[in-house]
Amino acid sequence: MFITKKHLNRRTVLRGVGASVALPLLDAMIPASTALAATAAKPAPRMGFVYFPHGAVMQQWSPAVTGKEFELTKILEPAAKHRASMTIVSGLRNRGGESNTPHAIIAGTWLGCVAPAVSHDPKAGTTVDQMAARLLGADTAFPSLELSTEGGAVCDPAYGCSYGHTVAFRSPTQPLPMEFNPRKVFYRLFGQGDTADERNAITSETGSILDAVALDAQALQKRLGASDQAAVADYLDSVREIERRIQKIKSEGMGGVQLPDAPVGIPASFEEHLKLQFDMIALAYQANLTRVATFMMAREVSMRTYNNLGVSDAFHPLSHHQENPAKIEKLVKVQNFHTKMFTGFLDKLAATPDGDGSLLDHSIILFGSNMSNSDRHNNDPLPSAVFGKGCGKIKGGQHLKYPQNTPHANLLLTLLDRAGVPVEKIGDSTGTFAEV
Amino acid sequence: MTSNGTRIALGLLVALAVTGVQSATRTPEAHWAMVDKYCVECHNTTDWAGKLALDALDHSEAAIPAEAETWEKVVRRMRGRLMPPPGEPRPANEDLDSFVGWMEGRIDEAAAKQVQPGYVPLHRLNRREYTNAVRYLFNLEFDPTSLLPQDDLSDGFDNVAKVLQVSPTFLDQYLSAARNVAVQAVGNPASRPVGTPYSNPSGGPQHNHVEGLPLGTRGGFAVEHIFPADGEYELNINDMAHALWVEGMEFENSLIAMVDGVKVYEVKLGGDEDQKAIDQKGDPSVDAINKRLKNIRFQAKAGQHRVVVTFRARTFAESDGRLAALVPGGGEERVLKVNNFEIRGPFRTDGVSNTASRSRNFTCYPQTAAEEKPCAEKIVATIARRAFRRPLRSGELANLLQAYTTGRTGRNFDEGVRSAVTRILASPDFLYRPETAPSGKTAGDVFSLDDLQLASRLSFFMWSSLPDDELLEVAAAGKLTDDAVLAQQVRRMLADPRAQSLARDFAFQWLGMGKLADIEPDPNIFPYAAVHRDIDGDLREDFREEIRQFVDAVFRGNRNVVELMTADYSFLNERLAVHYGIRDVKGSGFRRVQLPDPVRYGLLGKAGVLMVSSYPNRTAPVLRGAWILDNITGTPPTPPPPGVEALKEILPGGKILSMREQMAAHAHNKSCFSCHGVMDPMGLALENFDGVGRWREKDRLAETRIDAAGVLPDGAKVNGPIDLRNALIKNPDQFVRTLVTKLMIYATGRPMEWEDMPTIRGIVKKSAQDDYRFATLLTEIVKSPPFRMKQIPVEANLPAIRQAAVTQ
Repeated sequence: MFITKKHLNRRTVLRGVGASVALPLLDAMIPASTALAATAAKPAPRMGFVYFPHGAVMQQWSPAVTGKEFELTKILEPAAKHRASMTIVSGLRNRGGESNTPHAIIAGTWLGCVAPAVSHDPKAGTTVDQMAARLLGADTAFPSLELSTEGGAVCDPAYGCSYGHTVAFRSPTQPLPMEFNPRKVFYRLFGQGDTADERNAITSETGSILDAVALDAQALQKRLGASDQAAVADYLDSVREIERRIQKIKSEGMGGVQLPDAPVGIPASFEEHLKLQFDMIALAYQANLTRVATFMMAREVSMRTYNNLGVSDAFHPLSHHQENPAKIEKLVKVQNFHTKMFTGFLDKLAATPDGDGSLLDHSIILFGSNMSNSDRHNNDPLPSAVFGKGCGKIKGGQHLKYPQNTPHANLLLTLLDRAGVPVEKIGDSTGTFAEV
Repeated sequence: MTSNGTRIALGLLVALAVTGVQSATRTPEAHWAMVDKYCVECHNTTDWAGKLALDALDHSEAAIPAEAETWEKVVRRMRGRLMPPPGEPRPANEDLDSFVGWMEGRIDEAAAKQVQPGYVPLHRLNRREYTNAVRYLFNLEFDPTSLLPQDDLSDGFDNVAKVLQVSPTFLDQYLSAARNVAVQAVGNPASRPVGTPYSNPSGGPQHNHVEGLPLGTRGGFAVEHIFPADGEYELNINDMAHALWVEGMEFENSLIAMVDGVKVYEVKLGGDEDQKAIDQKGDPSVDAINKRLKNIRFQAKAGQHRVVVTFRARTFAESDGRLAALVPGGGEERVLKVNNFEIRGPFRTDGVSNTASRSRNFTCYPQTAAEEKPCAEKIVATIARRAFRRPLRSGELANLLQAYTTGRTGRNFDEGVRSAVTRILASPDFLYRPETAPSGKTAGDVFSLDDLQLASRLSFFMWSSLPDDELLEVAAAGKLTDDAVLAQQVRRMLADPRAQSLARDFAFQWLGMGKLADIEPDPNIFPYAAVHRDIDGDLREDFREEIRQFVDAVFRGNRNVVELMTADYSFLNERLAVHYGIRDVKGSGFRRVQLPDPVRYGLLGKAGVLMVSSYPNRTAPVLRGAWILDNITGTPPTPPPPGVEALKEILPGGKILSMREQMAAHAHNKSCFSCHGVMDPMGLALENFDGVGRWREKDRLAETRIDAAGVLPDGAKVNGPIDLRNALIKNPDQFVRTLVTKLMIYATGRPMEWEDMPTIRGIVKKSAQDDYRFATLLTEIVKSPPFRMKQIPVEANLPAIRQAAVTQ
């Protein structure tokens, strides 16, 4: 598999990946004429949170019409074919993300809805993806997957650098780094080693090394003062987490996955990069390596230019469009492009069979931002759209509009509820939406 | 440098006057009166402007130390002339300086009576340090990004202890890295063929000679590839022929591949035959041409070797290009490029011969079974001692050797060593730099670091790497805590090439050079600096290299650090020299150049600095002003309030505004002007430098002449970069204090707080006595309490909870 005479480009290879990963839920695995819900192979919901920075041009995002007959706006139009599984939710506000320095905190508060402490040390809210990961990820190799396309932090004199480059917080004080190199994601998902034998050898060596370093760490902990013991405790927790994963893979195997070449690295084209990262998430869902993923399509204050769309302005300054129609048009082009790339991901989920339906049928994917009008740094109303039917728990095919000041946290709580994750309250939430 | 010397001597006089002589002439009552007259108007218990009420503070000298946290903020803003805000009545400069000197004097006096070294939490290696450690331990050159995830930054630096956390994702990659490094360090005769892709780090064209490649070549690139075993390898290069697309195929290109300077392959591409074939036969000939670039077999020995894929250069006359070349210095046009290649292998291995890595660590090799264990012990002990930066504890070696035994069982000696190396690199004793307190010390107590802990701090500060054997020996002998020995080690380490890390790592982060990667200049506005144009390469590489070499020359040359602002020399290659309008520099290599025009002197004339404080499509005087306040004067502005509207570039009638006209909007609003009145004149003084640092006389959009005149907050009139520079170093203490503060953050791995300001001022004062020479700065820093001591935190008082850090 590793020696090919002809050089395949990345796309080809990945298409190959899609085909060669054994499906976790082949029809053959389900005993004939059994009610789906009664079998062990009952499909589990997949959750995804796909973030774009700098809000949206709202009049081009929110349809004018609510209910089932909503019209598709310019920004959402690329996702037209997934209309049936689309739920646009308008009118929401996230108070926890509001501050003087929005870019510094809004990504990290999107899924937590808790205003961060004014401090250089991270302290906000645990994010819903991580709440979901605790339950949905308890029996997958990776509780969750965090991806992005850009490194580098967004810093602020008041809030430090913890909230601009990630949307996932494992705990109020632990932001999770997001990986932007698809190659590394691939390695992390599928592991090192060329053959099954080699992988087994590596796994068993890693196991004994983990045992040994855990002892080292405990010895180290004893020599340290109280405040430093916590840092080593993080190390020990991480050791246990990896041990758990190794155990899981050992006991279940990878479902006979035949591993192809990994992506070469970070593609030169942004389009390619987005596609690869989305492919990684789709693959991870498909192989049941994880059920929860977060993805930041670009980071806050991104200075990326979209020359492929004929937009040479940097994204962030462009988002301060001063209501200039020419700039708005360009910004809408960029936002439309993001939806287009996201739709490619939905296409893949829709095309992947999973039990009695497709992956998309069993998914709950939130696509949105924690800013509204980027020119004014508004956080109200937020652009949010949910895709997927959540194993039949989400109606889809409608545009819901809630009264001003309805907490965004209510939507997040609703999504957790539909995924079967019982959480009572998130940030300033006041309840769930029956309409979704 | 006599002119510099005089200027600095003058500056010194001013500094002395500020701190000593003048304060004697003013009574405390006069100082308090000034505060009441100019500050309390807003900062009082009714208005609480900036959450500060100065009327609530006890106006007596004795009460100052207890309120030092507040007063430090006050004097910092006064020093930067941020307060009282521009546009408001303000005291005379002498009164402000006198107050600042007096206030700092009182705080420093009180601080001298009590050591407050602060606390650095448990430090883990960051990615850079890890990569450097691997280089030191195994003679292996890794790309850091291929090993570990990116570290979080705090206060602009990647080595701040409290944010360097460990998560499962991190540990996962950390374990993979340990494994990878161990395999490469030992070599692996049983390795299966694996493909390693490389892409050309510079995205630009390949018309000219690339620095570092053999003379007589053009374009291409080199990689350091680690070959796991002796054997046959395969090279696959990117496609160069494309269907129906003959560009670049018109002329003959000779591609060559080399390993360690020896040619292993040469092939011709393009010319009449190829062009005709593509044109007439299409796809089959395209495939045939590209096949010449695939499956290129060659032999290589195990270890790290330099692989080069490039082209033979033809003379410009031969190239048949345009007569007036668009490339600076000429060069061929319409040529083929090496964008990426892949090395696969090994096929047919025949063992592992002695690599640089093996010869460093395999200091013995067993000939008999009986020799194996003692030899393994010797190898493992040496690596572990270096990696853990201390002599091994009893039982530790036996523990590590268990991994050797596991690897050896059923396999061979090399596998045993490999297994032990993985184990060492995965250990928390390598990952963390524990600084344990002596027994008996409890919360609130201060203790000095021991010799070995100090050795680690020193080497990670100066080299971003492990202590070398000499430093470790000095420390193990208990001599490093001796001031004279410490100073001598600082000198030795500064002379070592590893200290280049201070320019490349410390200074780049201080100056915000990381941002360069995010700014892709708009090709329509800055055609001469665009990245993907086929004419110039990526100038940002040159911008970085200039600053690296320049700062390194000041640092490791042990120059007066004020030269960073004033030096009349820089380091340029042809491309950058042309960018600066300097004519007589030829070729791709960087060399020291005397700058003909004083506008380019010092950091403020460097394109890299001017670009990180710009947008991709325009200059940003606000960003430049803020950059100076952050990094040069050390008096950062407060961030803008919410709901700020963007600048208007075009008026309703269609008139395009110049940058200065756009900035004028800031003066209409008092709250904007309080910061912009400070920042904007600084930024506008640099307005002759465009967004990529090229000199210009006219604003190309507004089509007006650039007006770089302005008034700084202390009333100094400036017109252009020279005046601005002179104003900024009029009092060199200000700049040196900023540099020392940044160095202290980097050296200790924690933000500097208000309690640290007396120490910082003390270091500046001492270094002033030696003309602010860099080695003196370093020596004073490593002798200071925050570097050499620690105070065990009281649980309720952990530094992590403190909110307002003095980040100066």
